[in-house]
Amino acid sequence: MSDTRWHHYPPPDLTPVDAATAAARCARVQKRSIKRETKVRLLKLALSMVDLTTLEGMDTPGKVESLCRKAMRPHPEMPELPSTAAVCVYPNMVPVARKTLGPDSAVKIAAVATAFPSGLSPLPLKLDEVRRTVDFGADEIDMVIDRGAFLAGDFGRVYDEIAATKEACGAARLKVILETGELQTLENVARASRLAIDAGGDFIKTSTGKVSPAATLPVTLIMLEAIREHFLETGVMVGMKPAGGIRTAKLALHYLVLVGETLGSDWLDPQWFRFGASSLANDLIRQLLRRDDGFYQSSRRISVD
Amino acid sequence: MRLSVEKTLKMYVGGKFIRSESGRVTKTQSSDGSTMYAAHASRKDLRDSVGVNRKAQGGWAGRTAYNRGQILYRLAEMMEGRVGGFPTTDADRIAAIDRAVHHAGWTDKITAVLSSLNPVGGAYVNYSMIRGMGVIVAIPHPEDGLVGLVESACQILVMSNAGTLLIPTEMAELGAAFAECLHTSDLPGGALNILTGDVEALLGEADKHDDIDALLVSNGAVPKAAWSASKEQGARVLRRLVMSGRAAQPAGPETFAKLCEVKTVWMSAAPEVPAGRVSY
Amino acid sequence: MSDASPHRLRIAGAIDFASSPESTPVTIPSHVGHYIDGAHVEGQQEGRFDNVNPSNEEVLCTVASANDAEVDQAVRAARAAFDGPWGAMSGADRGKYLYRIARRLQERAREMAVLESRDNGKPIRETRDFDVPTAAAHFFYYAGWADKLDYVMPGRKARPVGVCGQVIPWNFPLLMAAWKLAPALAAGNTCVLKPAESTPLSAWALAEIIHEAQLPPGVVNIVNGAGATGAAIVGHSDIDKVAFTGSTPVGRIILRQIADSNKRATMELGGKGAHIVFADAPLDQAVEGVINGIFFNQGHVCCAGSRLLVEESIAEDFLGRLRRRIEALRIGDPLDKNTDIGAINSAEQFATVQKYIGIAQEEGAELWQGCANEPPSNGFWVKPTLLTGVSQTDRVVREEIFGPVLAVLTFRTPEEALKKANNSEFGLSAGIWSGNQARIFEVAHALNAGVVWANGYNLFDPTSPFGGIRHSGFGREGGIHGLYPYLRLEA
Repeated sequence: MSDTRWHHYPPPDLTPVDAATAAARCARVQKRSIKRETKVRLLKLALSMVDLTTLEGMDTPGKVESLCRKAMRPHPEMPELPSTAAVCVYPNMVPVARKTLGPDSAVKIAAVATAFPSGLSPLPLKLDEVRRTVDFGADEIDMVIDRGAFLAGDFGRVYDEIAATKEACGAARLKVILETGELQTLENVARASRLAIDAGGDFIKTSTGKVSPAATLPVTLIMLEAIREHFLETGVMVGMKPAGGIRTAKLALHYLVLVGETLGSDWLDPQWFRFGASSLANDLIRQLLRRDDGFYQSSRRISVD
Repeated sequence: MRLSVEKTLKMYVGGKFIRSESGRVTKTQSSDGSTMYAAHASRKDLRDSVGVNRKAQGGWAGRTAYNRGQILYRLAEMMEGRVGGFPTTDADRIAAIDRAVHHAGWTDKITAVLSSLNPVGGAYVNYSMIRGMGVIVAIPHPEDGLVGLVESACQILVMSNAGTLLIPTEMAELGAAFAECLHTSDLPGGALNILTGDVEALLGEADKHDDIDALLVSNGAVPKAAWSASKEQGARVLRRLVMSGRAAQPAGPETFAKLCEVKTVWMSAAPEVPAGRVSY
Repeated sequence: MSDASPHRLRIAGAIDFASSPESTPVTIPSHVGHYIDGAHVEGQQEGRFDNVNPSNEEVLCTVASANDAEVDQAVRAARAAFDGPWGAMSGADRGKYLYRIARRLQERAREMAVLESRDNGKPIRETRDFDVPTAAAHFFYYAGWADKLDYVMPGRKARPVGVCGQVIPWNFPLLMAAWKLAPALAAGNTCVLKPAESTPLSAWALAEIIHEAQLPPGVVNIVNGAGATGAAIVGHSDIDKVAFTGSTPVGRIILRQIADSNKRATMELGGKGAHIVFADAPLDQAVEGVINGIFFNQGHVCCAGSRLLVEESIAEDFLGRLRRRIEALRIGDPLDKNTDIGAINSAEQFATVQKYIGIAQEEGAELWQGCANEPPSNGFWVKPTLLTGVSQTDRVVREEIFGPVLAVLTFRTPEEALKKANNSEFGLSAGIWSGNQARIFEVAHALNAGVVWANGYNLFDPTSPFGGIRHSGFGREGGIHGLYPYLRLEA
């Protein structure tokens, strides 16, 4: 057990959040007009940041294999396109993904673990799940925090679980899913972000995709600000992954603007920013195709996964 | 025959009856025809009076609206019970007392009449509230007698202002009687002062004094040249000259609206991010 | 005061936006005359002047300068309309005309926005998202009042005042025209309006809309010109009410000019808004508020939050946040959709802002200027500017600069914050940022200002009365209170 500022009462005193102004800030970002060469550059960048995701109970090896091929070559007609950053799958699908992608693939394998999506299992089970998943070949572990413990004010417990999970990850990068739709207030999001970062998360991530709302711009802004504060205090960079609900290229580009204007150019890199998404990749491709040949493509032209 | 005791009428400033700092008095006649003397306000008396008003205004405005109403009603009680009445007609006395009762009822209602809750777009509570302007120098119409004094005084006081009434020497006896009622009405000292003397000269001094928030002049109380000069001088500090109707009718909200500031406040009342909806 | 962190974020230029100009075509006339008695007229030859696009110093058009005779013509037309069709018209019908204007403004919104940006130099983001929609909203709001005037004040019959002479500034040309015309017309008055000499175009287009809406001739007259034309309007013997928005010195001149008359007046003048940030504030949102408070419209805003009062314990941290945010602001072509900071409106105003920056340095202020990019070489540009190390006695703290220049002061207690905030001849606006609601109420109600924003800044709405106290003027625009100056309220 650790003994940190999260293990004492009262919990760390963070600045409050004015939700109306945070929303206005994001609305202003959404007024940014991204055209021509900037658009092409950011569309490609966004594609390279996608954690191409399938998290269904009905996932099969075939589905995951197909997803991995899509991740490596998002649109074979356009070989110049980057691969996506990663695929994101359930633990049992990691071996399939590793086999398809090969041992040292540029496309990383991210796997959700720790009794995703609720996290409501005994910690030893969750840690065992993490270790096994890493052993299967996962490069990145997307864990969920215990929202019940967080909302009950048991921050020490949430901290300890993250810290233990981080240890269990070994060399794998740890993404901490806050499930912001259940935390509900931006102040909770800010607090959970700092907690997750302090406890050793390499990334903080908004959502499982199983709760609505998933990622939103205001929530992402608050999380980026937490990352910024940590960086200014320590010089240590932490990554950000909004997940769920980002389906259009236009919205994705506005996320990138938000990142650029909040954290600067160093975070505009797949190493530090990811989109957890499934259908986004195709819309990015569609927009790029339009840039190339001047027509809006029917979605039939692009592979579904 | 008894030799009468000649009285010198004092002015009322800061809850005290005072002589002019200059020592000047003007000879005048009392309502029964006997000789009296009235303090004659100097320019410095005006400056002092305004200073006293400024100090007192915050306290007066800080009272609850209910308490201010109680005090104005107390003024009516004091006037009603005044032994020997006032050196004026019965009709004027009665109208003046009833006028004080009328205005006493405004203190805790005018805010509701002149304030608003504004339905702005966006997550803000937006309201416009009224506040007193501060210090007001007022000139009632001499022909309006006691009801004119009550009317001007109440216009100032209802709106949480403090102020000074300027009245001519001929009204000094009436003014002093009214001041005695103010004095016993629990009105905090300095909320309302009364100076007697040369009204136009005092108005001219007020024009040169920047720490006055408004001038309140009853229609016809001073010649046009005087109020024009006041407006011209007041331009330097953007001071308003409020012309109010004669005292036959009580001032209504349209007049009160000119004797206050409307302050609009936007308060963020942001709804948080929408509540989660679980769909496992 | 400097940001303590040794670690730097590379925000400026992080996203290299390709230019994205608003492309809606607009027609700019070669010459802008007057709109008098329902007709567009060229105006006299004498005194015509050039109207310059402040973002590239190119001449947009020439502008007529109305002489006394032309002003007289306009006032007579307004009087005739007041005594004639407009005075006889039902409130409901007056309202319908205002609704028409509002709707046409919405329909021509994009065009109006482009026109305004080219004329004024302000970013299209603001004209498109703020100036034009808010102007239309103002007409919509007051349209609905036209047949409800007897509900404005309990127990009082409402009657119009007569002919209104209205003089407006260059900072929000269309919006100020709307603020003046909408309540006046709803109340049943007729108007003679003078736009600012450097920004006549949106009023010219508004005259077209008014014409299309078929308002009876003379109800709205728009005359162009500079100070002398304005003086001719407010000094005209047949004007019943004067409404002015502009600088405090000009407000004084007008009040002197009309002192000898029974003309009513409202004055919306300068300001030096205090923007108070307490240590318990939502700091990142407070940054947003401060940015919006002083850099909105290049600081050409009478209610700009030009004095930042930040609690000493967080001052360094807060300034770091502020600078980082400023580094994401883009300066340049007003028509570019990504421009945050447009051009200073005129060579004259540019000189004024530069003068104050010089004064600040003489007074010992530390100057910091930032932006995401460099401004163009032509045109009038001032990067967002912070002045630290200033004190209450400094001119840059006491005087209105009317540019993107923020004076930064600190305080230790709420009492000190209030004392400093209220230590100004002006009293137009103020802002508070705090997470403590009781403190917000306490401070909001103790500030000497006509408008107070709590956890927000520079928010406007037609339903919300706006206006100042003391040297910031008197009278309110917007909301029910905005009708008072345009009505005789009689028992």
